[in-house]
Amino acid sequence: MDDKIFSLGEFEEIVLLAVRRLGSNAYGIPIRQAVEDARERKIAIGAIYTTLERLEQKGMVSSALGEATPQRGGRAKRYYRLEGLGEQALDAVEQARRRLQGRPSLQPEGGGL
Amino acid sequence: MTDTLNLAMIAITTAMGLLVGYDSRRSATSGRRRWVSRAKVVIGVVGASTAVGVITGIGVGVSATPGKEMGMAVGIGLGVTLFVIFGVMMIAASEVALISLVNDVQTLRTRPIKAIESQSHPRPPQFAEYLLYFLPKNLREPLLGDLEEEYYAVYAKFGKRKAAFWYYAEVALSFYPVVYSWVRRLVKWGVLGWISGVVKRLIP
Repeated sequence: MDDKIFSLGEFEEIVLLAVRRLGSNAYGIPIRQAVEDARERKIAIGAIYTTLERLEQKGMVSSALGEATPQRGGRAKRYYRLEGLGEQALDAVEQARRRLQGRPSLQPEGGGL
Repeated sequence: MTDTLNLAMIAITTAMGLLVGYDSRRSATSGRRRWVSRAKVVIGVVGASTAVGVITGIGVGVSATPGKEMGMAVGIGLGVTLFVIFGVMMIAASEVALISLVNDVQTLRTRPIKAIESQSHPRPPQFAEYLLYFLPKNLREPLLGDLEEEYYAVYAKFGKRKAAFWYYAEVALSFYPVVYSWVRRLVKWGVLGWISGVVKRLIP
C-alpha cells in the first residue's frame, strides 16, 4: 500500500469522515458543524475550506456547485463528495490504528472481504 | 443684547440644520429617490451659520462701537469667529443624522426599495465581506455564501450588532488557515528552490 497516496493529517481525516457521514448534504456549514461536534471546539470555516481544497487536490473528494438561495446572497453551495481514494485513505488509517492497538483488522491482509 | 443674539443665532442654525436633516430623512424613508450628499448638507449648514454670524456680528459691532467702519470690521470679525465656532458645532451635532441620512440615500441608490421596506434579508457588513475578496475565487464564493447564510441566522436570533461582530470574527478566523496554507506553499517552493540552487552550485 502506497502510504504517500493515503497520507492524511488528523484534521483531514476528521473532515473526510464528516463528508462521508453527511452524504449528499455535505457542504460548508454542516461539515463545520459535524467537525465542531466531533472535536468539541470551534473551527473557522476558512480552515474547513482550505482542508477540503487540499483533499480535492489529492483526489479524495470531489465538489460540485449546488443551488443558490436568497439567504446565501444568491451564491451557490459547494457540495463535497467522498471519492474512492478518500474511502481507501480512511480505511488505511483505520487499519493502521487497529494494528497499533492490537485489534483484529476489518479486512484480511492483501485482499478484500 | 449680545447674549440674546447669540442664543437666537444658535436657535436659528440648530433649526436650519434639523430642518435639512429632517426633510431629507423623511424623503429617504418614504422611498422617493432624491440626490442628497453629505457635502451638500454640510455646505448648507456652514453657509447658514456664516450668514447669520456675519449679520449678527455687523449689527453688534455697529451698535457697540462709535465709528461705522470700525463697527463693520468688528462685526465681520465677530461673524467669522462665530461661523467657525457654530459651523463646527453644527457639523458635529448633525454628524449622526448625516451618517444615517447618507447611508439611507446610498442604500436607495443601490438596492431595491422593497428590500429595504421588508428588511427580509439583512446583508452582512460590507467591509468584512470586502476583506474576503482577497481570497481565491474558488474558496471565496462558497465561503461568502456559507457566512451569509449563518449571518442571517445569527441576525434573526441576536440582532444586527452581535451578528456584525460575529461576522467580523468569522472573517478574521478564516484568514489564518488560508494565509497559513499560502505561506506553507511558498515555504515549500522556496525550500525546493534553495535546494536546487545548492545542488546546481555543487554539481557544475
